[in-house]
Amino acid sequence: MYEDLADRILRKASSLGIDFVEARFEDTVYETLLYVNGRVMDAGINRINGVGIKVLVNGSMGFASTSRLEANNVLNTLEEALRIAKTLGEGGRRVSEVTLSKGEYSIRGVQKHPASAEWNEKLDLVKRMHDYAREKGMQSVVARYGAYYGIIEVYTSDGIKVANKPLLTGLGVNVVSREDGKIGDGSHTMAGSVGLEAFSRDNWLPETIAEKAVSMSREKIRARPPPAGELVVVIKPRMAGVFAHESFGHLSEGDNIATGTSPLAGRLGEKIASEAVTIVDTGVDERGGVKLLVDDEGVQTRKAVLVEKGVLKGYLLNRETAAALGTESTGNGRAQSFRHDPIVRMRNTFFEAGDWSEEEIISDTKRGVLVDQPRGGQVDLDGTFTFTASIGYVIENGELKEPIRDVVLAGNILEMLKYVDAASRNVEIFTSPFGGCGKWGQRAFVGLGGPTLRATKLLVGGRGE
Amino acid sequence: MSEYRYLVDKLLKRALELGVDEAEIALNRSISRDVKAEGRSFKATSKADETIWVRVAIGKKVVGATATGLVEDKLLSLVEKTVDIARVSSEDPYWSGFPEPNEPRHRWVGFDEGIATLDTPFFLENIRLAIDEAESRDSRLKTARASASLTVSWNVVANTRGVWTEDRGTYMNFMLYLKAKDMGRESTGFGYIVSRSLVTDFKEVVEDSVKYALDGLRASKFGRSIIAPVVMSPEVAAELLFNVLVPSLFASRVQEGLSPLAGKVGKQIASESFSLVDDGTLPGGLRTSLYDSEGVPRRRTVLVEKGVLKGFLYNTYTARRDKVESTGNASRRATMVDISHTNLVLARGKSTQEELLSEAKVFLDGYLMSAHTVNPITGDFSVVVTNPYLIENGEVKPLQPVTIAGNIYEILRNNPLASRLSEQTPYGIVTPYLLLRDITVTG
Repeated sequence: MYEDLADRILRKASSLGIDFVEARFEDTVYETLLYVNGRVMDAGINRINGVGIKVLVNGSMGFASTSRLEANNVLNTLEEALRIAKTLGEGGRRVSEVTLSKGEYSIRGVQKHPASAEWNEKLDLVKRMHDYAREKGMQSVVARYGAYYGIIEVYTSDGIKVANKPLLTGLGVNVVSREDGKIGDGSHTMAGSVGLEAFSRDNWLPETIAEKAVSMSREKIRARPPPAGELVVVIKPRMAGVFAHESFGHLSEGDNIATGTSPLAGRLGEKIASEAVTIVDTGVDERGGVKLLVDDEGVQTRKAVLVEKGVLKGYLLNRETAAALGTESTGNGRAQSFRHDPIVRMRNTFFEAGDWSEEEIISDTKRGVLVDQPRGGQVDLDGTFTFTASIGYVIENGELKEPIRDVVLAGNILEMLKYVDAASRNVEIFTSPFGGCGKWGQRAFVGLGGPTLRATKLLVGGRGE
Repeated sequence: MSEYRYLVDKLLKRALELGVDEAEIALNRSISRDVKAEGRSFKATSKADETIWVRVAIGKKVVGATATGLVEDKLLSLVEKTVDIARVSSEDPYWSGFPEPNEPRHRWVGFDEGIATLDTPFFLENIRLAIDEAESRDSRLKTARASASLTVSWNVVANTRGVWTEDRGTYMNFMLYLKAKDMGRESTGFGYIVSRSLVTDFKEVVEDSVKYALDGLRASKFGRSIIAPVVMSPEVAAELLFNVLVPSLFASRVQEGLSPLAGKVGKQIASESFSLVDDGTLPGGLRTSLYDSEGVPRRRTVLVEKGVLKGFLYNTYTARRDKVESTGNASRRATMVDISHTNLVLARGKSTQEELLSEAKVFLDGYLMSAHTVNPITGDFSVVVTNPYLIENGEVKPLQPVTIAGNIYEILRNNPLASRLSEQTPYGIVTPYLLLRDITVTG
């Protein structure tokens, strides 16, 4: 699509004596439908079109972007990237060598791509979620459809030439119900690199998605705030995903490793978790999540094993951090849009399976809490992390008892992964086109998941002494 | 921005030709530059962006679209596509049109040529200085990340009712994020400045980040759970209110049953010591502008006066639905026109910071983690505070991060006290130090 422009950039870069240049063209669309209490509150398309150009000169990096794709403007953008890189003087940045990817990367087996599906069909999906929840007595219903697709082309002076066609489609619903002055909120999302045909079966049916949110809302009306203190915590797959992402994924990102500021820096081969812990980050997994075939530096994604049976095995790397650490990129260089320079980001991060069943884990737990349905989380570079469950249950003598709500869990990564003593066999991986992960002002769609886990000691930030 | 008038008029005209009843075009042009440091490795970025928003209404069917790059034929086809979708969309019975033209209510434009003409070397030099200074204070300190940036932004909003508004602004950021490590103990420290006008002195950023990181190294574990009075720093208070209270003041959330404040106008929702004003006209305010995202003039809106709820924040759609005037709080979120606060100003109190601290068990400073996970529908919150301090016998001792939990409405009804001096925070909230009672602190 942009081959001619790319060619002109590469030729000019070479004539200007630039050591390395990477041009990333984007023409993508984000479709939104927001259906609130029976009315369309937002319907539209958000088209993102432009180019981001990264240059390396004397070990310093400059990145410039423009939304105007006229040739003279694009070449001026290259010169701007060069100008600002030069102001940095001599630096130590390099990019790692890669196996050169070429050609087109697109998601296979999609029958009803959102780009060609009728708008009415999308509207019908959100209406079905909404109507179901309303019929079940929910007072407020916010139903969403979102889809992201298009083309991202990456050209580099060392020969990468790829066209990536990403896809992420999802339905989500938030509901609120009231009973005797109590408020219960519930939510559920199903999403993946799929066509609209995915929403015609099993757990993906709009009615099934709505039902999950409705039952969560009802449980939350009955729920009380959690107890506070250090407790045994059983973590359902969606929560395990946030745990993997927050507690571990961020700290294994190559930028924090290269600067030596992550608690995981310099510890490859060390035992940092219990035997039950294996954590991976991958571009594609058949069990779910978002499919990322190639990253925004044009590098084909590969599976990164971060922790294997408790031992730290690897980090997440893009071309720059791989060069700094003297190794190869794992294909984790991602940018929110053409306006952003690729930085190290996660893709699908999850705990691998263990050999327990979820029932066995619960019945083996004398006292504790089970947590489900994440509201999000965060980690700090000293290893402090938190993640929050919307709903949970007290466990007493191996049985689930009364529900608890808005449970914040906190701990320090260097201690906490040692307390994971059980993982179940079933691994589930989730993603969402609504929200995503934020890092240094850039958003990325990520997948996360895992089996049901048990941690024998986690701080629960409840209310009451 | 009048150079865009021809294009904007053409797009509005095209929409009308295609049979829409009304149309609106908003346009933003921005330039931003920054220098980022990962450790001592620097990179520089420079962005030039143009974004356009289109909204069309056919009867009560309304659809929006956005695109980057202002190329005429691309935009004409965007308008056509938007109209196509509007034809098959469904009606919103509450829709009652775009706003009418109106004059601005104040004159302050937060546009500083001193920022608009800054270049990369200034940032590079000051980041280097800040890193050198911070790392020379203590050998256990290391820079994780630093950045300095500027944004210059121009906005136009126009609609087929005759609105044509122009606005512009400058913004500057500087931040330093340090990591400290000593014999297996690890901590972080963060400092920042955000400003609408040029800042050339970044000592405060260095002082803050160094202090938090070193305090973190000698912090002790709280090791218990108590319900106690606490003092929140302006940053902590603002981040909490921003996430757990502020969304419930948006008329959109009130109307859709997502705010616990629905139906409470005229009622006491907080103690008399608590008052809150949204002021989109505040000189120097991070979110001050002449107009909102629909071209409605910014104004000052009293939200809570001596604990009594006085009203909500409106855009044109929600205002007409409630038969009131828009408060000029429209904001754009992708294709949707939603609501956001401008500068929320909390009433100041009569105490000094020290007097407040003498009544508290814990001082909550630094920033919050997982603040986005609180529940604005109920007002319940449970979050981690990065830099808490224990107050004991008049001494203030650093603690490792703690979680705090409570319900914002119960807390605001429990006689919160404010300090005499306020600070502007990056959340668009201007707040004093707050003494809040009955908060569960666990660590």
